[in-house]
Formats: sequence, structure tokens, C-alpha cells
Amino acid sequence: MTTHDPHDDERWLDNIQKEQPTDSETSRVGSALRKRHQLHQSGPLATDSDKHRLQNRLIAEGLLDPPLRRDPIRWLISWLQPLITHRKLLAGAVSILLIIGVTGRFMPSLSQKASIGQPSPLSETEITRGNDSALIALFPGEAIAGFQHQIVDDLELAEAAWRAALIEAGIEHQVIRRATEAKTVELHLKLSPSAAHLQPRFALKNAPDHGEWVVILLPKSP
Amino acid sequence: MTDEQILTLIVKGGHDNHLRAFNAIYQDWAHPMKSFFMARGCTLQDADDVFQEVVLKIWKNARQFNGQGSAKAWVWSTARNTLIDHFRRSQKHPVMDTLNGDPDDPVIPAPTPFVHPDDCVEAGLDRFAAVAPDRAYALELWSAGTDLQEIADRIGRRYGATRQYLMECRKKLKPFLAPCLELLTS
Repeated sequence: MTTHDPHDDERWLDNIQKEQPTDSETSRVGSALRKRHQLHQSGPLATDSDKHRLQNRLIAEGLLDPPLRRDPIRWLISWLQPLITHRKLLAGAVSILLIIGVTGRFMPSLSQKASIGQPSPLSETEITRGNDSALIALFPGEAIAGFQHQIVDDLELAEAAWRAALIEAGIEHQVIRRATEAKTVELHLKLSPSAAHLQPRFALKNAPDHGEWVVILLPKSP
Repeated sequence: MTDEQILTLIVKGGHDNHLRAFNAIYQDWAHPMKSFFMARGCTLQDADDVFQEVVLKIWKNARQFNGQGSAKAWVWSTARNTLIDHFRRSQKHPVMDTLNGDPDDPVIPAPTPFVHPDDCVEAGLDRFAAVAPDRAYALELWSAGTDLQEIADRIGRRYGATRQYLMECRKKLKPFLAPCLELLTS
């Protein structure tokens, strides 16, 4: 039995790390070990689906926020930041212009939507005809958009019913204009002095004078 | 990103920090840990399950890492313990090092005769890894140029002891390569 030399082990250890060690045995052992290492590093050990599984698990355990709960403003900033920091100013500027454009496009409708239903209806009348039931509300002019939610099956029927309801309620009126564009009926009504208590609190948009009311009836199926 | 930075991000919290930590965890840990679990007898599916458990444990206990010692050692210690728990729960036996005594102790299967020395060495390493997976794993990492501290953290030993451990591997490996000596010298 040969005497064991620790320095020899140390040299062996250093040599198996080298691509071209000194002796054949160490060379082959080092090469075989590296081959095994590469083999263990290959294969589907870290796939995208595994990653999603882990992410879902963390979300399920309440440890990670789901992507949908992200703050949209922070997301937007984090999305724009690389564009700017990576000197893609043009791309960044285009993005900003797009956002301004999109926001500008939808802002009026958003503000209009925001006003929906804000003014209280001055008068409400339920009209029932057959299976159709509609709540007719008399809104001040600024709440016209709110009235667009009044969807009826039969336009002519709804118009007649609406007018009948006004008469029944003792509200005298006259039809100023009827527009039937895009399958809608737009009645511009001038209320009689007897309905003074229903005088609008807000100026009517696009109206010739402040006494005019607008009702828009929309078909249920356009 | 270092393991310490990952733990810090988890503790800090917030969506962005957590997302960065999660991505770093998957990029840096998934492959080596699953490979480590499979070397100890896990199937690919089991390795993924154990890895999930490891990440959950670390995420929940990140605050317990007090900054003393290596974050990597703490992470890998959690990985090894989780693997042991997994085997305990599933009542399976992990592939553990049984090669602790003299080289004559283990029953070394008779090798198939080889013509090429490389095949013989590879087969010898396979047999060695079957009875000494920790040593084989450490040697593989070492041969691929992995930093000694990294190996120490993964196998749960101190830096100095790890070098000694690796040097001892030569003696342990020798009997498994004995059948190849003739081929290697010819």
C-alpha cells in the first residue's frame, strides 16, 4: 500500500478544473465530471410553465400580487421609463402624444358620463304597456346623456306613451322638433307655464331658450 | 442579483420589489436547485414541487434572515431541509451519501468491461454518484469552475472544510475508477 500524499490530492483537485490537466486519468475524470455537470444543467428544469405555476402558487398564498392588481399609473411609468432612459425619446414622445390623443378623444364623453344622473330627476313617471315597462324621467337639459339609458322596444309606442304620461301628469307641452336619426326619436319639448315648478335648474345645451327640454328614446335593439 | 438582495426585496415588499425578487429567484435558483433535488432521487415533477416549497418557505421567512452569515448558505440550507421534509412526507428514501468509511466499505458493483477509457471513467462516476451523490455533485460543480464558497453554501459546509471534503473525494473515487486503470495506462 502506498503512502497517501495530501499535496497530491490538492494538485489533483486543482488539475481537474483545468481543461488540459497534466495526466490522462485526471484529464478524463475532469472531462467526465464536466460532462455530467452539463448534462444536469440541460433539460427542462426551469420552463416558463413551471415559472407560471410558481407565480400562481405565490399569488394563491397571498405572497405576490396578481398582475391585474397593479397600479396602472406605476405600470405606465415603468413602461415609459425605459423608452426615455434608453434615449428612445422619439418612441417615448409618440407614446405620450398617443396617450394625450386618446385621453383627449375620450375626455368629453367621460365628463359627460360623469354628469349622468347628477341632477335629480324633476319628474318620474312609470309607463306600462303590455310587457314593456319604462321609467320616464324628466331631467334638466344637462342630464340628457342620462336619459339615453331609457331603452324601449317600440319607439313610436314609447313616444306616444311618454307624451300621454306628460298629459296625465298635467304637464302641458308641445313637440318642437322630432329627429329620427340613427333610429332614435328626439323630442324637443316646450313646457307650458303651468309646469313652471319643473323649470330646469340648468341651462339647456344647444337649446334655443331655457324652457326647452329634450328627451331621447333609443330602441332596445339598434 | 445576490441572494441577500433577493431577500431584502422580499422583506421590503411592494409589487415591483416582489416581482423583481420573483424573477431573480426563478432565474438564479430554479435550475441549480432542481438539479440538486434530482441528483438525490427526485423526479422532475417532485423537484418542481420541492422547489415551490422552498420558495414559499423562503418568502415567508425572509425576515428571519438576520444578515449574519451568507444568505446563499441560508437559502440552500432551507432547500436541503425542505428536501428532507419532502422525503419524510412521501416516505421515500432520498439518495444519500453512504460512502463515509473506507473505500472498501461500499459494495461496488462489478463494472461492465469497457474498450474506451472515457466510457469506463463515466461509468465509474455513475457508480460513485449512486453511493456518494453529495460528493459527486460537489466534484461536478468544482470541475465546472464553480466558486468554492458557492459549493460550500450548497452542500452546507464551511469554506475550509469544503476544500478538504473535495480532496478526500479522490480517495473515495479511486476504487470506482480502478477497473479503468489498465485502459488509462495503455
